[in-house]
Amino acid sequence: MLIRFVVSNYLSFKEETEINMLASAVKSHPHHVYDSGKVQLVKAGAIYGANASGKSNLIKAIDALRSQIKQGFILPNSEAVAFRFKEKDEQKPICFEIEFLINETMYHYGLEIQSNQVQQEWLIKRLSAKKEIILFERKRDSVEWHSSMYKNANEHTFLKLGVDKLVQPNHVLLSHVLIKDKNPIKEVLNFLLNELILIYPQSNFTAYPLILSLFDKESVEFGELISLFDTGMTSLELKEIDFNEFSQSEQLSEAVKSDLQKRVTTEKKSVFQGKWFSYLLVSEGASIKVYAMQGRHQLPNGLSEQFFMHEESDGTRRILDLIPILYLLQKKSYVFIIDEIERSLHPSLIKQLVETLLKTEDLKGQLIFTTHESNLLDLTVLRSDEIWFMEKDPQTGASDCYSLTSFKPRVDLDIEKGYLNGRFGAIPFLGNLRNLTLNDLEYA
Amino acid sequence: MPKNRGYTRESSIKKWRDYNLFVIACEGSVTEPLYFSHFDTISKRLKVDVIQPAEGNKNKSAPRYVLDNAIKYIEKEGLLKEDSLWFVMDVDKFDLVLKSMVFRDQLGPGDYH
Repeated sequence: MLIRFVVSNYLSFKEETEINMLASAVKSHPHHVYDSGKVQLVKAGAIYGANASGKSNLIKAIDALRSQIKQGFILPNSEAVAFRFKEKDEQKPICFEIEFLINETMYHYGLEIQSNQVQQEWLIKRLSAKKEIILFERKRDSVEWHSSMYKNANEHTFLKLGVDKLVQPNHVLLSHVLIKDKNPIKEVLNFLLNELILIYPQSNFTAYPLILSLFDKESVEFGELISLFDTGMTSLELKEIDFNEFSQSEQLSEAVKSDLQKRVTTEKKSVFQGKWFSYLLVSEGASIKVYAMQGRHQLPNGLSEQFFMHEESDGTRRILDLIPILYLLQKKSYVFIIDEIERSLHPSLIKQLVETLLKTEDLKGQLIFTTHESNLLDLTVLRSDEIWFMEKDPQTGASDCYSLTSFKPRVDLDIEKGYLNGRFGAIPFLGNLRNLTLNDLEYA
Repeated sequence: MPKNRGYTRESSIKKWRDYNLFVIACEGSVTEPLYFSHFDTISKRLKVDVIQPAEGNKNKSAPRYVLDNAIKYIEKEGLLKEDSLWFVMDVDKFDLVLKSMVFRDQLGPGDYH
């Protein structure tokens, strides 16, 4: 689970900007709080803000940290993505920090980059709020390892030599540590790369491959979930497609085809993301079977038709993007971060979706989203420590992020009305447009 | 350097905020809003929202009408006890004492400035 994320000097963030999932003393919706014994975390985060306030940049920052870890090296041109409104000779590093909880263990990872080099990088294991073990700490070329990271002097030398010889200044050390089974880095990487999932509004069918990979022939759970929403779709089905037809429509070269065949044979089951579709490939004996997903629509008079996903509406596809989230959050401690959750969806539908999810007593993961949808600003749905605002300071051009908890006296008014009245900031400011008419624009 | 930022929400809050509204009711719909629009450039937390005179009252700028508009605004939007409502008037034209009596009469004692 996510504890906090902190970013500075990246895109619209100048100073350290933080979002965290730490629970406050508020008593409402106690089942939204996960208590690990050492730390209490909330299971939802809703981020409000005007356009261009920096909401999406926060998600881009988390994404940037993840992709640097995934690729093993830092952003290729860090100056281009650094905060730009600064004094000429002001030199500051870009800094990303993430803290998270894996099986009751708290971790804190940080990456600081400047002039296309890693300045600092660290991984800390926190035993309690005050007690910590620094697993490794890197300052440019030198790395200090904690004794738990190696078994004996040989392994220590090996770690040191490995870093000296192989790890370049632009490499992310976390991705280059040789991993043994019991090494904490294994679970850290697994969390950051596989359990922290980002969903963008423009990304087409982000969760579709995920649905496919989880889809067993006998599994109808998603199908049942989709029928809860008013899309006309009653179930999801897999339709088998001829392998040659598949490779022709995706214009696969012979080399790609043989690679794919090898991969499927080894992994037994694989998802192929094509230009328009994603396919599920399953190895059965000597052959490979290809499946595409279809939605079944059944009319009250009994007539029934199947539609491929590209034939479904944007709204239906967006619901399909979100359904695995409902399902997975109940199964495992995933962290889903969704940019513009309301995209393509009716406001009441999105409220229903969030409400349904947050009513679940034993939700295992967390849902964080950015939105403009003010009808979710409702303390019967969310706790006050789950509501965040993002605002750009007109003086500095920097984004600021703060939660409803930081308002005193404690807020017990109508949050939605208060937000729309501008009490918490973070709403579009249109005051100066009032005196400007279309005619003025025409002759300007 | 890695920092320990604390592990309760309250300890993570660097800056506490308030959610008070400052509502300014004024006579003119052009000049006065222009004076106060300066605040827009200072902070997003200061918002100047012009309450347009009700239809038919456009040229009636007497305190009575400003007060009527302010009351209508409060009825619609609601104000909290932490909020403040300010009146900006041209005192050359009116008897100050008479005006303050009019306001006291309409609004509860001590509630608004």
